[in-house]
Amino acid sequence: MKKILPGALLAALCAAPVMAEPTGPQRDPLDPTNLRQTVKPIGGQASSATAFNPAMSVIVDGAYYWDNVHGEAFEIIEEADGFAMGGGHDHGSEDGHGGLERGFNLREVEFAFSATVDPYFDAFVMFVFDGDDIELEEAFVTTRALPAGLQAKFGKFLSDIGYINKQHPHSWDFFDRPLVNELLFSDHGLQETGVQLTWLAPTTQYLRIGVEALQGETAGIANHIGEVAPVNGTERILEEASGPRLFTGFAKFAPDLGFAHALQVGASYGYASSFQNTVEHSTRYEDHEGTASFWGVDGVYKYTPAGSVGGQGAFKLQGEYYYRKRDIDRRDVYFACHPAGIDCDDPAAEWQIGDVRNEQSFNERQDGYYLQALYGLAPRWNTGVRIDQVGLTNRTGRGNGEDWDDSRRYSAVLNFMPTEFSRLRLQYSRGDIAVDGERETFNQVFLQFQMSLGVHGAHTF
Amino acid sequence: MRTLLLSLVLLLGAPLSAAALEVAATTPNMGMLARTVGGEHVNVVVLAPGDRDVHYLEARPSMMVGLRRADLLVAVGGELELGWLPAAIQGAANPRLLPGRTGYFEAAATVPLLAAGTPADRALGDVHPGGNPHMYFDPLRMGVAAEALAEVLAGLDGANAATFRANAQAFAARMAQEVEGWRARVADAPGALLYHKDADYLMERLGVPVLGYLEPLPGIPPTARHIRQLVGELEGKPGVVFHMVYESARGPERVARELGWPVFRMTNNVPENGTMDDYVALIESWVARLESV
Repeated sequence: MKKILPGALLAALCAAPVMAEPTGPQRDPLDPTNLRQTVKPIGGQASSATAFNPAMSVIVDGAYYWDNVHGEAFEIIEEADGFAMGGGHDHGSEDGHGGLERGFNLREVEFAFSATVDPYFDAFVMFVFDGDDIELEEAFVTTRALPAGLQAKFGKFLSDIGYINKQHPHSWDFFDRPLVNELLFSDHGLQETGVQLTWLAPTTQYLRIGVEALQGETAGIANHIGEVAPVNGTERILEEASGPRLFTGFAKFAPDLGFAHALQVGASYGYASSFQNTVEHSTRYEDHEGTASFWGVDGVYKYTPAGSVGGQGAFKLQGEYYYRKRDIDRRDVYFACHPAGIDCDDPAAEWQIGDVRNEQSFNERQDGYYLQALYGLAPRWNTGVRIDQVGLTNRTGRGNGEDWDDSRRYSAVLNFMPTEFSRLRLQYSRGDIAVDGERETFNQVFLQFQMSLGVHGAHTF
Repeated sequence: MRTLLLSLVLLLGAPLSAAALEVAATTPNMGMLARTVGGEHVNVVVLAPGDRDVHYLEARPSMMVGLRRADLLVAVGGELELGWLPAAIQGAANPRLLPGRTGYFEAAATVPLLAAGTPADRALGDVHPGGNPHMYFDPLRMGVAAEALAEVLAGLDGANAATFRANAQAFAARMAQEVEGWRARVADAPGALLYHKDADYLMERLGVPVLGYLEPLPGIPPTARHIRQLVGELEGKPGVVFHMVYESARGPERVARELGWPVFRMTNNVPENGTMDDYVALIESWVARLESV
């Protein structure tokens, strides 16, 4: 001990002020300041990411919620005229991300993992826990080494159509998903399993185009039921269709406007080779079998003044429009004698089990948009407004066909971001929804907190 | 058919040495380094302007355009550009620039970093456990990075290897010489109060004490309590207050007023098309203010 101490003291005194190298007392004559690293491989990276483990992050997203319609605002939105059938709640997932109770809610906890798999692939996996269930939000692999600006992705992912569809809820500027995205696609947007191929053009202005082949399960555009058993020997119109059943294409263009301004505009299109739906009435199944397509345009403009402190004075304008068309063949099959409750032998029974009714073909045309603006009030604070409207064109085909009223929502938001890892949000929304030809209005207040733990990946434009 | 294929292969694989290398630099300082070392053999685009806080940018389409066409990416590194560069590289679909490849260069990976080994605890603010990434503020470290960059450029364009090495050595030699002069000029400087831990490298190189930071923790803006505490500690002593163009002037001005110190609004980058002389002028601007008290 005694021997080591003076030696250590001496070493400490002699050590270079910048960086004491614990081993190797001899200095490189070419490196008097001792700044040279021992040989680093080319392409080296100074990083604290743990060697081979995936980068992990957890996002906790909770809210205090209040509305003036006994907590039923989300149900009212789902009943919006023209969108209620096939809007996603007839089958499968009963409540998605949307539904909140009045009071305190844990909306979701996102668990994200990302890593480079090998020299050829990167992978990303995200689970979402909504308080009851764990759901797989995304799990996909992207290529690293394709030449010529090409990139392929496969797995379950959020489609790259439009602008907001690809974003996770924690990236939104408002609490909730735009109505057009929720009602034309689903309460998870367009989230599918499939493959994507994109190409970034080698131009001086940003141009990226892509195509996707997707399994086709999204309620609003590619709902799939498959073949169902015949009723008393009568085949139903629903047929099995193998995937992929949904094909999309998109293009994004961003002119170079210098660093203070940024603009990106996009267009997208999609075609579903199978769109199926069924509604169980008291005595018959109403079956829809057909195809669907959509097109949309999107744009985002951002202004960030030079020397802006903490986003103060920054401005962002964002909007998207979509138009959806569904070509439907309808054919109803009775599974019980009609009128309901009647004995089948009764001569008053108009319809027998297995009878077919309402054979007709029609198409449905619906659209919607949202437009939102955000302004940086002060460092770390921003405020914004949004208008949502769906059903400007709102024609559905059942019966004699019907034109429905539109539905709207107006929102205002105030965001406070203490650091890039946390956010507090106050949002007020007023809904004005058409339900059965009446206007249903409601007010909603959200007080939300979002916290991001761990290594959180960079966000793209 | 075979000749067509052959010519296609030749066309795609044609050696790049004839044309200048396309370099994408994350900041103007890195653009300066690439331009200084590469000379006329490189075309440099700068992804982020110098008047923004490079911590908090987002990946933009224009960055991806720059990266898509680049043979080499020159970044500060050390996770400084973590918030946007990985996404920009990913979006650029250019496999040459992925970390670990020959087209990916981090200046911070070529030198030892200050404060390496800080606990990875966000309660301590926006910390970088791998070390303070703002190494571009140390002229000598920049000299070392220039020499490492010369080797990378030599690997991409062997015909001009000697030029790259000579340019890098000239840069490193100039920095070593300038540092001597700068150190002498600020030998009696009482010290500086910084906003963020970015100019630590420069202060250490010049031998000027850092008297404190306006940020209570990295990434957290100054609080009233922290300012009172700073004023209490530094009352009666001499010094200067520095903050960057993109940092709020309110806190620095208040501290400066209460202490009776001068406050300076500084830049940490050369102009977008800056040269070695601009980098010397940038450091000069700090030295001149340090020796003013």
